[in-house]
Amino acid sequence: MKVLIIEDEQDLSKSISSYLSQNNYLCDFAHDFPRGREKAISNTYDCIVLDISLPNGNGLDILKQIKKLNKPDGVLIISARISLDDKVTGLELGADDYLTKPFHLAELSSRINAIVRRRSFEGNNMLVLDKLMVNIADKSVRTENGPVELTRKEYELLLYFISNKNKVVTKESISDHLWGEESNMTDTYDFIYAHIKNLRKKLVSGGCPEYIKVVYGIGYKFCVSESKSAE
Amino acid sequence: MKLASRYNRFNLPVMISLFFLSGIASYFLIRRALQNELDLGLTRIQKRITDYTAAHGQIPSIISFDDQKVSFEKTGDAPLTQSFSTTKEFIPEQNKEHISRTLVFPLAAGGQRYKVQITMPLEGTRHMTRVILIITIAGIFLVILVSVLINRYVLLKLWRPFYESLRLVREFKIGQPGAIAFPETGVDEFSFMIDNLKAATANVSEDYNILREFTENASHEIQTPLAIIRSKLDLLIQEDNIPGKQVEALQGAYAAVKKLSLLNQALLLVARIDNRQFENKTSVNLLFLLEEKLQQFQELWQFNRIELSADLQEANIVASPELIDILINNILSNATRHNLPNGVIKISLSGQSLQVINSGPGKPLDKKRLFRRFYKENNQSSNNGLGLSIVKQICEASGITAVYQYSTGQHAFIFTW
Repeated sequence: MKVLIIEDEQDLSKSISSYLSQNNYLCDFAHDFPRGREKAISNTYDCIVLDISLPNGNGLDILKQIKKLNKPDGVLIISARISLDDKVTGLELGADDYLTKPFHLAELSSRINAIVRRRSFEGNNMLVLDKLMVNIADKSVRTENGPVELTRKEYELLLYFISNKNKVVTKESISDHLWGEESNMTDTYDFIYAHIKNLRKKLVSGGCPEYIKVVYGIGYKFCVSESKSAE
Repeated sequence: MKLASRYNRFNLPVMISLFFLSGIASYFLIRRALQNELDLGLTRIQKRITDYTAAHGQIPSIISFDDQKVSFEKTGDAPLTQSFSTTKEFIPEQNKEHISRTLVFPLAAGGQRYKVQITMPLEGTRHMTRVILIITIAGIFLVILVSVLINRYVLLKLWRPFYESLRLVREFKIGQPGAIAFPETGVDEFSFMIDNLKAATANVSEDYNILREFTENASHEIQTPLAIIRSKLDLLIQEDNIPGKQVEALQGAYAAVKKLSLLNQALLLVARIDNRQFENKTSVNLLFLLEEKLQQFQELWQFNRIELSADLQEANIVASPELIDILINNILSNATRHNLPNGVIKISLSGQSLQVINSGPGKPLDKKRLFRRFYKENNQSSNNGLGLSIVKQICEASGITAVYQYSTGQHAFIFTW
């Protein structure tokens, strides 16, 4: 899967590509407006990670051109601007999602996954991973033993883990993902732990191995063998 | 003391004493004039008597002219000079003391020397004194009355631009849109003052604008380095078997990035409210919004065993939906974070007011400092102390009044609009 990262901060784009490439993504870079525009127009990507404020231009203009050319690339805007107006403008221009800096790489990965899923699994909403079968459309989860009843939060949590499989995901990032960073729910780590405990229990009783591993002091890791992965 | 009162403090005594002095002076002057007039009359009679005597060679028989009395007295050789004098005389019929003016002069007729005495009453002075007294007192009262009236109406009107300008400056809020509309005035002193006030407030506003633009830009600039730090940390933790010491370091770094990120977002929000970036006001359905928020918080409350009682009725507010969302989030987060285990949250929404009460520590928050930036009851590290200052700022931008009340472990925030 190919991702184009149009971001003038090379340190940031390196981090992004380093994180994504471990998940079978192939990353391409552009560090300014002209090169970003050129790459976005001449190639096709599964997803373009687009910064708005670029040297020599505005990222939104690249977005406009992609949409004008009817290109199928998914677009995820990453911006330092937290204004709702900026977000609305970006989405109205046809971006698939909008993420405000500073984001967690796990969150970015989960958003890119969602965009790619939406675009590439048209008509096929099943996400199969080892013994898990997730129906993206009706948000249901099955194992060999039958359906697993998950609460909404547990489902979101599972999907977040799947998007970051075999990666260490921090408690902060989970909290921000489930609650939104702006809701400032700082004392929710125990609460998250409770959710994760329930999710683990449900998956194990559904016949799954112990996917969710605790990484001491940092967070959790959703470990699944790559060979049986459907992605 | 007002300038006019201070002025009057000097002015009035001077005016009153001037009136007294002029009253006294006019009394004496008029008396003098009347006396002169009388003396002239006496001289005229003297002339008629001398003329008569010269023509007839004998003194006239006693003639009475009105109130005047003329008497002749034979005298010896003793020399006599002509003189005027004022005499008092008791008149029994009227039971009154009369003041009279008397002219005494020598007269020779038919080889006989006479002392002639002409007396005329000086009645007018008594009345005159009274009249002058009345005029003086009336004058004083008039002066006082007029200066009071001038103070009341004329001066008040004259000074209006002054007070109006000062009121405007007092109500001037830094960051308000547009310049202050000072009153027009034709008074040089006032227009001088207004020009200076205008210049001062314009300078302050401009400096403030530069500062808040800087704040917003700086906050935006901070976002990207923060993103880099966080992404590098996210990569670091992917390493296998991180030793415990480094885990601790990573935890600290993560927590600091998170804190900085939240702080920066809060500062950015404050700067954006200051910069009026939330002017797109629409009618927000609070009932709908609150029900949605309560659902989001429900799980957390259940987990923390916080009991919710909500009495929600239809309510709308015209404001920026984004700000109202943040406002409600902040209030509910606060009520949750500062709550006690097995505590309660009571929410009531109706018409034009929203009330959020939570159980909490058994002492009231400091009302004065509560809404200030970086106010913290205790140094709880997870809290950046900007939540309530944001609440206040949103309230100000949306025409909401926020009040905090405390009664026995119940902390209430009441919002009315």
